[in-house]
Amino acid sequence: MIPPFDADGFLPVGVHRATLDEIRDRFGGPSEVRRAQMDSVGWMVDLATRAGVARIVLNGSFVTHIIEPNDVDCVLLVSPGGAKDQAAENELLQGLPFLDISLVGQKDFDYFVNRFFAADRMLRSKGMIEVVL
Amino acid sequence: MSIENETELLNTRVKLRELQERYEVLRLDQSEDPRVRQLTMLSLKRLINQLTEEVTRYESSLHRV
Repeated sequence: MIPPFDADGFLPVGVHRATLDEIRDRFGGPSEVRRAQMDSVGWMVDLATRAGVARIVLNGSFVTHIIEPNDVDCVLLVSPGGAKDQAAENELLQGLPFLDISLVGQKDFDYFVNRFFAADRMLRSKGMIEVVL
Repeated sequence: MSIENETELLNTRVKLRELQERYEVLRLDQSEDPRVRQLTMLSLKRLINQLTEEVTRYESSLHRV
């Protein structure tokens, strides 16, 4: 279950695991922008699964209380070896509407989760969402 | 996303420097899996460019005042 927002409109500190349905229920509306962003998240998760991505973490204003978020920051953990589906990986690299996608190895995935995504630009600590694959 | 004040500018600069350091470490580290290394470097470079643009835009706006 995705926890409630804190007083600043952020998720509590930590990585909160959620299914795509739970993410859609919580963040996929009510605004048109949020619905469109959620569609992109769904496409991204499908491509990432086909490409063999190991983990997906979502961040950015999409996972806050903001009604019309700017974007969805996503970090995807890629494993050594070839992509399971190169075409799917290529599509991820080309990008999707509203999504800022980073495909990284383990060390940099840890950096994103523990540092880069863990606080906003005013250094307020905040949580993020991991998509259950 | 844009920088709104001096605190955000300072913190964005710190994150930008960290990304640049990580990029440099990876550039010199040939032991990483080649595909993972290439994907990570692409992602880091894109973020470095994005934050560099944001810092420059904010600093430029200060000079116009």
